Formats: sequence, structure tokens, C-alpha cells
Amino acid sequence: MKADHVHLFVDGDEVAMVHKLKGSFKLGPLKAGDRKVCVSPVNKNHTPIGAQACIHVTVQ
Amino acid sequence: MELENILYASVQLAHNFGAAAVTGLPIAALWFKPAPPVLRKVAWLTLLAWLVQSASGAGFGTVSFFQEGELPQIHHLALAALCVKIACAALAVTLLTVHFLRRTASGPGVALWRGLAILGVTALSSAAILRWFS
Repeated sequence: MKADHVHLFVDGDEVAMVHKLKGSFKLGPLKAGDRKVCVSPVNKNHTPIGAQACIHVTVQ
Repeated sequence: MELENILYASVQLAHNFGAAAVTGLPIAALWFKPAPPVLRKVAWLTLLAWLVQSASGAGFGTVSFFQEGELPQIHHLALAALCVKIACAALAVTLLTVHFLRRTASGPGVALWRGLAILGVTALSSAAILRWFS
């Protein structure tokens, strides 16, 4: 099943739900330090479809 | 058409009719004030509707688990809304079960219908939050 929208996580805590699959989304402000930001594409029932990706960022 | 979509749509179909019934039947009972034998039938239908709501609600998670291998990601406000829905269903089923265990000849009184109407409206309102927040 293809994605309907995405859930965004910072350090494992869901911080936003975005109803678009392309483009950009402004996230923040984030607390200083090392942060793990993940995006999880989900179906219409909010279920992950298995294509989650994460990046590590350092916030100053 | 994907099997997963058919399964979700089937569960949604039952859930939608259940939602309409758990809210509409108590309001109709209060509004039209039917005779006691009819009220008893409406009460049974309301109990059946809440059971359908509970089963189909669990069905959403079941389809996700068996089709995607994971449960839906529900957090914060949506999780609170889900808890409210579950509490409404549990309370409504309990109230109606107690009523039927008493084996009264008449249907539920005005107080019980009002309570059931409030539970239905609350559950339906929570459903909107659950759908659009996560």
C-alpha cells in the first residue's frame, strides 16, 4: 500500500503529522544537542508502511 | 484493488453504521418517545451497535497488524481520543447489560437514554480527533 501522509519524530517522540509526501516541512525549534529526526510514511490508518528514514543532527 | 483497502473499507463501513446507530438511536428514543416494547427493541439495537463499534474499532488495528505487521502510530491527543472512545463503549455496554439483567418489562428510562446519547456524541466527537491527529 502506498503512503497517505507522514509522521515526523524527534528522539522517538512524534512531533508532527504532515499531509504531503513531497516538498519541505519546517520543524522546530529543536533543543540544543544531538537529535534523531525520523520520517515515517504511513497509510490512511496511521500505520507505518515500512519505509522509515532517520537522520542525526546537532542543534546548536 | 488491493486486499488491504477492501479490508479497511469493510471495517470502516461497519464502524460508520455503528457510529450512526449509537448516536442516533438514543436521540431518536428521546425525541419520539415510542412505546415500551419498541424502546426495548431500540435498546437491544443500541447494545448491538456498541458491540459492532467495539469489534470494528479493534478491526482497524487488526487489519494493520496482519497487513503491515505493525499497529497504527497513535500518540498524544489521538491516543487520548482513542481512550475516550473505548471508555464510552465500555460504559455504554455496561449500562445496557445491567439494564437487561434487571429483566424489566419496559425499556430504559429517560436518564439512561440521555446517558447513552451523551456517550454516543462523545465517542463520535473523539473519532474526529483520532482520525486527524496522531
